[in-house]
Formats: sequence, C-alpha cells, structure tokens
Amino acid sequence: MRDVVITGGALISEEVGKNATDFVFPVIRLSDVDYDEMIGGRGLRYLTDATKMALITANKAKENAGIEDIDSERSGIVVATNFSSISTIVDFDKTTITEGPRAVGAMQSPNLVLNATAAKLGIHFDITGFNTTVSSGRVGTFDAIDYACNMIQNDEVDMVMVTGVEEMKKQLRDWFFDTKNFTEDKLSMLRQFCGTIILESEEHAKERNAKIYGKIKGSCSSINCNYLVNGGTDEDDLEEYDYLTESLAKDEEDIWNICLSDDRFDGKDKYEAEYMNDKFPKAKVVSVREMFGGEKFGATGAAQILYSLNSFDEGKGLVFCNDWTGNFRALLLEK
Amino acid sequence: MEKKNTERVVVTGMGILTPIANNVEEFAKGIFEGKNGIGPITAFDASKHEHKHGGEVKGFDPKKYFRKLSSKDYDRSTQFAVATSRMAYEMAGLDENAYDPRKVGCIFGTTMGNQSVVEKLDNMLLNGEIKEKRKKIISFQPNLISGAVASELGIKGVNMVIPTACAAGNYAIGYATDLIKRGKADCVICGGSDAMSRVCYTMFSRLGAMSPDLCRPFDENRHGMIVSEGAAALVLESYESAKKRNAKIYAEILGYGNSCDAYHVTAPHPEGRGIMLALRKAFEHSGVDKKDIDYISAHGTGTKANDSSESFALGKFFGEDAKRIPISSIKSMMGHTMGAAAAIEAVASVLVLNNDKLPVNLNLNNQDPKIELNVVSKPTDSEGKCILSNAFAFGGNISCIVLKKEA
Repeated sequence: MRDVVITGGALISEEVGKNATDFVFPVIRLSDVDYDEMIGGRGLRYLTDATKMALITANKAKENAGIEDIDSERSGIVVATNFSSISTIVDFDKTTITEGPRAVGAMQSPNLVLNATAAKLGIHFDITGFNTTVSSGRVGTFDAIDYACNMIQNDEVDMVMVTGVEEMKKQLRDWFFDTKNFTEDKLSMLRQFCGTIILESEEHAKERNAKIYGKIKGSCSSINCNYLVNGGTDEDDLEEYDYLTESLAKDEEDIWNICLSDDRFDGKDKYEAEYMNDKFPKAKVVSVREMFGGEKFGATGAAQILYSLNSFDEGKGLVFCNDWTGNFRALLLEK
Repeated sequence: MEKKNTERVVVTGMGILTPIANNVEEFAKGIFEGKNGIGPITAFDASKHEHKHGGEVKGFDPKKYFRKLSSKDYDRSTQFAVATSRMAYEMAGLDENAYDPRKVGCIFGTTMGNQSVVEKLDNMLLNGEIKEKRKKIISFQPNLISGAVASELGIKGVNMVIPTACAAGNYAIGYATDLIKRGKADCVICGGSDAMSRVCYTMFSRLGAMSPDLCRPFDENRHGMIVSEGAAALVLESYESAKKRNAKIYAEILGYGNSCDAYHVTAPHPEGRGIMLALRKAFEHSGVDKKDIDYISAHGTGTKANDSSESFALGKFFGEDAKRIPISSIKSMMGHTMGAAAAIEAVASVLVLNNDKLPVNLNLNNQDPKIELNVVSKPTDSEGKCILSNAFAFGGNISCIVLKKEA
C-alpha cells in the first residue's frame, strides 16, 4: 500500500503569532486578505468567505508544493467544514420568513449546501478524480486526511488537496449570540480559519522531486458514547487518550513531538496537556493556539498539522484533537 | 500500512424511512407496485410558496428508537438516522457485544444536516421566543447525525458525516466498504438522512427545479423534481465475518466509483463527463462487465437536465446494451430525499436482488424519445443478479455503486 506524504500547505488565520514570518508554509493574516486581488472580482459576490478563503489557500498550497500541472482524473479534493453554509442559510431563511419565498435570490442557492466550497475548488482546478466534503465536528480535518489517504493508498489518485475551513463572520456570530447558542465568553474564542494541505503518494512526490515536509505514518479514530449521554467524564477522556496513544505509539520513546488541540472551548485543554506531558515526558509539546489563537472548529486539524510540520523536531510526532460530541482523533506524523 | 482484510463486503441489515413506507417490508411492496408518497407539505407553512407538495415521512415516532438519548434534543435528520440504524442493526441480528465496538463505525451522508434546528431557532428568534441557552440547541452540527447513532448503538469506531448532497449515501457506502476491506472496521452502519427543510424546499423552488405536480423521470413532459425527506441505513460487514456468525447476507457491494464533473455547482455536465469517469471506476473496481448488469437504479430526478445527461452518459457508456438494461427511478414515487436518496436507492437495489422484481418508474406516460433507455413503467419481474445504482449531486459530486446477489 502506498505511503502518503505532505508536500505543501498554506493558511489564512484571523490570529497570527509573532513567529509567522519564519513559517515554512505561506501564512496570510485574514485582515490582509484582499479577495478581489487574490481571486479576481468575477463572481466573488456569490461566494461565501469559506469558499473564497479556500480558493486562496489552495492556490498558495499548490504553489508551495511546486505543482504546475494537475492531472485532473488522478487528483482529488476533500474539504472539512461544519459551518461554511450557516451564514447563507440564516440569511436565506430569515428573508423567506419575513419577506416570503419569492424574495430570496436563486444565486444564493449553491451556498446553502456544505459541499459548495469543495465544488468550487473542483471547478477552479478542474479536478475530477473525486470531490468530498466531511463534517465531523472539531475533528473534521483529521477525517478529511483519512479519507484522502484512503484514496491515495487505493491508487485512485496521486494527489489530494485537503482543506479545513470555518467562517465566522459577524453575521454568524450575531446569530449564535441572539439564538443563545454560545455565551459571550465562548463567542469571543471563535475564529475564522482556512488551511490547505497537499497530500501525495510518496512515489509521485519523489518522481517530481517535490519537497517532502512529512509523512503520515498512521491515524486513529474513536468516539466515546458517553459524551452525548452525560457530557463525558475525566475517565472517558483517559480511556480515549489511552486508546489513541496505544494504537499509534506503542513505543513511547519513539515519540519526540506532540501537538495539542488545546480545547479551551470545551474546557478540555488542561487535561489534554497533563496527560501528554505525563505520557511522553521527553517529547516537545506544542499547542496550535500559540501561533493561531482561538477556536477554529473543523479547521483545527489543518492548523495543527501545518503547525506541527513547522514546529516539530525531526522524528515522529502525534497530533491530537477531540470535541464535545466525544470524537477523538490522532495522527502519527514523521518529519 | 495495513494489509487488506477482505476482498468482499456484504449487506446484512437495512433500515428505512421514506414517504411511502417506514419499514423494509412495506417499502419493498411500495416500490414494486408503484406507490405514490407525495402529498401536501406539513413540516412548515408552505402557503406562500409557489408549490405546496412534497414527500414526507408519515407517522414517525422517534421515541421508539431512542434508548440512551432524549429524542427531542435532536433534529429530525438525526432522529431518522438513529431510527434506521437501529432497524438495520436489529435486522442484522447485531447487538453491542457482536463486535469490538472500536471496530464498528458509523458513516452517514446528508445534504442539509440538522437544518430544522436552525429553522426552529429562526422562528423563535423572529417571534421573540428564544429561551435561555440549552445544550440541545447545539444539535444543528451535522456530525450529530452519526454521533447520536454511535451513542445509541454503543459504537466507538470511525464516525463521520459526508455532506455531499444527493450522492452522499453512496459516498458513505463506498467509504464504509473501503474501511472494512482495509481492516479499519469489522462492521459499519452507513446510510443517508435528510429531514424536510424549508430552506432546501425554497432553494429548489427558486431554482425553478420543482415539478408543479408529479415527478416524471424520463418522461417527455417532465417538469422537475419534488423535494422530500427520508433516511436509510445499511449494515456492512466482511463476507467472512457475516458467514462466521451465520448472518443472512442480502447482497454484496462489489465496488464503487466516485468522481467530480468540475463543471458547475448546480448543473450537470451536458456530456456526462463526471458520470462517465465514475462508471468506469465502478466497473474497474467491481470486476464486472457491462453486460453483467441486469438493472440500473437511476438517479432520475425528473428534471430535464439530469435525466438527459444521465441518459446520454448511460447510452455512451453501455452502447446498445443501454436499450436492453431495465432502468427506473424510485424518485418517481417518493420524490428526492436529498442526502438520503442514494442510500434509499441502495436498499431498493438490495430488495430487487432478493425479490426478483423491479421498482416501478411511476408517472411515465410518454417516454422522452431522446431517452433511449428501457424504462420500467409497470410492475415487472426480474431475475437480476447484478445492479448499478447511480447518484449525482450539486457540486458535480458523483458516485456509482455496483451490487450483486450473494451466490
């Protein structure tokens, strides 16, 4: 079965730490984004922020990977997102209720579905191999990576653009607040983010002399059923962390790096850090929030993986993520 | 990287909720006899909409299927997923002890996710009725569809939602098949679910895609699709595991092919570019010949564009065989159930293999002369052993699966 490597990446973040200038992948601060200049004005009005950001990061990641021509049928796209359509849906639904169904514009329609961003990327790059969208809550990008690896390892495609994206426009924040979905404290943590990672089969990457930033050595996925039933306990967290670490890192001495998801949104951050520091005392432990701040939901994994490849020392590293619905994911990377 | 676990993946259980039936037996009867499930919309106030009809699941009581969670905390799409998954699990004779729960996965497809929660919140907001924050409000997150299934059935393995619109069910089935073949799961509950959505209904209405009366796939006078709701779940296992526990095997998933049109977000490629690629891959992976196909479960939405491009692509791919192979669209009976459609059609295909009958393509009065396919318009017997099931979606997401009767 084919090995999968990471050959490029790029990201847009609302928050960017001081050391971003040395980042190995292109980092664009959201406030510096000019969609007209970076994408071109045609049709922009009808694209969501999620799609616009994805077009920029995908283009930058492709450049970063040194890819010039894309083999349409041997390439694929996966997008991880949970909220990319919600802003449009809320606006559309409000107009439907207050002004009637005939008042809504048909041009908004494509943005009402979660797979709109992936569709646009497929059209833009003329990628026909496959096109998938994944919504797995906060761990979405990890599942998107798994899906992409599956397609490469099955020899369906040679290259996949994996994008994790969440938009958090003011309109959506206002709706979250007005409908009492989140408290002000939690709302203040929400961040808009988009990251694209280029995955290739190792042989394909070597054939074109691509720079290889890291290799995906394994992944592990679980869901703890108690979370939705009773909120999940510390024992539940321990059970899942034990399962993930034992599945991917039987020899703890072999792990030199850890990247935490730093889930302050659900208050799991301290426990995660304590566990990892205790389990892997020799490992360098980094948190994606050090560089990119706030809560990025389904785009968290994209931030973590790109940050890991930038920050890890040579050797193996584990990237962890979890969410309030009981999803736990881990990725084993080798730099 | 892991070795292949098995080459064969089989279906051992199914669950279904549709506008024509709420269980597999009645669903089978309905599709083979040609039952109409379309009626007035009751899920929301459609009085100001141009069209007021759709396909709704009738008489569904979610409390029957929820044992650990409170059903009222979850969107109807999630309720459907839990219900059909429990039906499928029970049909397969499975319980929490049958497999290591860490090797049991749940993958569901959807278009709109937990949309009705958003719409309820909008109603409350506009009526000044928002109450203090409750945990259940967060249940608009799409991944709660598969998360709730996992919680109810004690599943701890792979868990995800694939919102690739109308092809989502086939995407879920395809990925589930791969996970079992690669040994990442021993068993996967997969399917699709979408509840009636005001936003979705309005969207298709504004796109001019809806039929003013009936859904007439492949008919000369077809005028569009009908928005519906529903869900289906299938239990997939390796052939070896199913045999070991003496499970009844209803069908084998031979292979699938995914592709993308990369053409337009809402319109299909006029020459079926993506369909041709998906078909080619589906046949390469399934190892069957085009001549082996005994029935095609069409995507057949009833729109001019879809039915024409599907027919064109099938004609190009199958050549003269396209005129021989019986084909029908069950959307003619129940409308378009969005992200559930492909999974419901997969269940229909399994039922064809087990009942030796073909689903009726209802409302076919005058077949479009440009559509040179063998459309089944009345109850018909069949000895079919191998089926192709197509699913095409917004965004050019395309997925075709090939199923066969277990020998």
